Amino acid sequence: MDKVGVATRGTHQNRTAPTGAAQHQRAGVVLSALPLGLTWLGLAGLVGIDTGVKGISLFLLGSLLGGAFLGFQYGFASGWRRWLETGDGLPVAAHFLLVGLCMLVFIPATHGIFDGALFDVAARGTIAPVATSLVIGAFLFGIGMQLANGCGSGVLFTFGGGSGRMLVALPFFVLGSLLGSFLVPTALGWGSFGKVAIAGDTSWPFQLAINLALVGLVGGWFFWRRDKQQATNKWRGLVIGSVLIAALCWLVLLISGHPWGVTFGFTLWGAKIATALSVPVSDFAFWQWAGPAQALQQSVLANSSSLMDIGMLLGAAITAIIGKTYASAAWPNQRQMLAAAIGGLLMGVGARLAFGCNIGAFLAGIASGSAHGWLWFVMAMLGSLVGLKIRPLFGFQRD
Amino acid sequence: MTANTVKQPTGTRFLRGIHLAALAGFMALVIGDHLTSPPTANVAAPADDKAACAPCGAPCTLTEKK
Repeated sequence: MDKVGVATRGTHQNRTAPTGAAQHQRAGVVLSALPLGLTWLGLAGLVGIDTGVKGISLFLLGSLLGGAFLGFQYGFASGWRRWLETGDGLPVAAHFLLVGLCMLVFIPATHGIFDGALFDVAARGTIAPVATSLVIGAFLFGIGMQLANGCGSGVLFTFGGGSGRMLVALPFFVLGSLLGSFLVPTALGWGSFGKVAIAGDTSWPFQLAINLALVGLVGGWFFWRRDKQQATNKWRGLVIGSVLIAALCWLVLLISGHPWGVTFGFTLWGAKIATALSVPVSDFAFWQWAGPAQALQQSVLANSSSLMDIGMLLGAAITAIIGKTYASAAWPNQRQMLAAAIGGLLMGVGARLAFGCNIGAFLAGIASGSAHGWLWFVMAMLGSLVGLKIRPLFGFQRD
Repeated sequence: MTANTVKQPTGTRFLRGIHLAALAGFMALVIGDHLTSPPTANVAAPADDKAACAPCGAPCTLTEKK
């Protein structure tokens, strides 16, 4: 994940700047944040007119997630890289903490426990097939996330935060995602074990206990393998970030009826742009399935993934501007820009083949008790390992 | 610029301009698409479809055991 704005945050110089300069900086922040804030309000108004409180709530939750991810620098790609390069398992342990917290709501919801709790919605978790396409897609995604320096959520919030790298990675992610949508119907014929819910035939408390134990075991192992000299300072921020993000994920599930997902929104944006460029997108099998076909016909603000992605972009951008970190890092060099393009493309194709990214497949999958989430984790970690071997070719140095 | 003003890395002002322009262009596309699309009363996802067996909306006939 790109670290946006490290260069200017909280320096001694900042704190001791003369009143005039400080006022000038404050005015700059207000002038930059105001158009974005007004854009946010305008979009919220448009969303509210059509889809009411439910739409506005999801847009707001997307924005808050953008702010939370940026504020806590909650990165999957960088955390996994840290584990693979240095053996410090703390960030990955935090990811499993997030998964476990989400699970507390996702598995009961899948059994109908929270039906009608909010907006008369029957909320369900994500159980996707354990398929060959998932194995290939997650592996490609893992390579891509190390080359682009960000995963599904990471690309989005660092783009919002003003990363030059993501200015390249995101369009290629969108393109790859569209290409992936053309491949998926064929890829699903490569073999599948169907949906596998771990302890899915049991009562929800038993299924929750079994799955929590699994997550606790794996997350605990990564925690045990942490860098003990640095862990104390980092752990607090990671725990607070995990709890906050988990709470937002619960709300997304209960309001939208399904777990938060990032990459379908990218696929939809690609399809919309391609359609506008006279590409016959709707002729492809993927876009003739009921859900995608409906999404293609409707507004990008009427699809929950796309709507929340747009909220996340704006939320991260507003947070970065207020925090005076917006676009404060220098441009990466051309080789790293090329890596971002290739990484974005691989993640796009991979996410479609693998039924989602680190959010829609790893987080939502494991938290819903689905075996596909675990397989995604293993394959994306192996892909990350390969990605790390390739990174030096693009001039990356070890973190 | 005073001596106490925080020094920006090279090219960040240019990056900021490019970024804000990209964000503005993207938001214009979003609003344009919304205004030219048929109105709908619900925020949906492909997985909401009863025949879907994957988050992307893939039908169960394609995703079952093979």
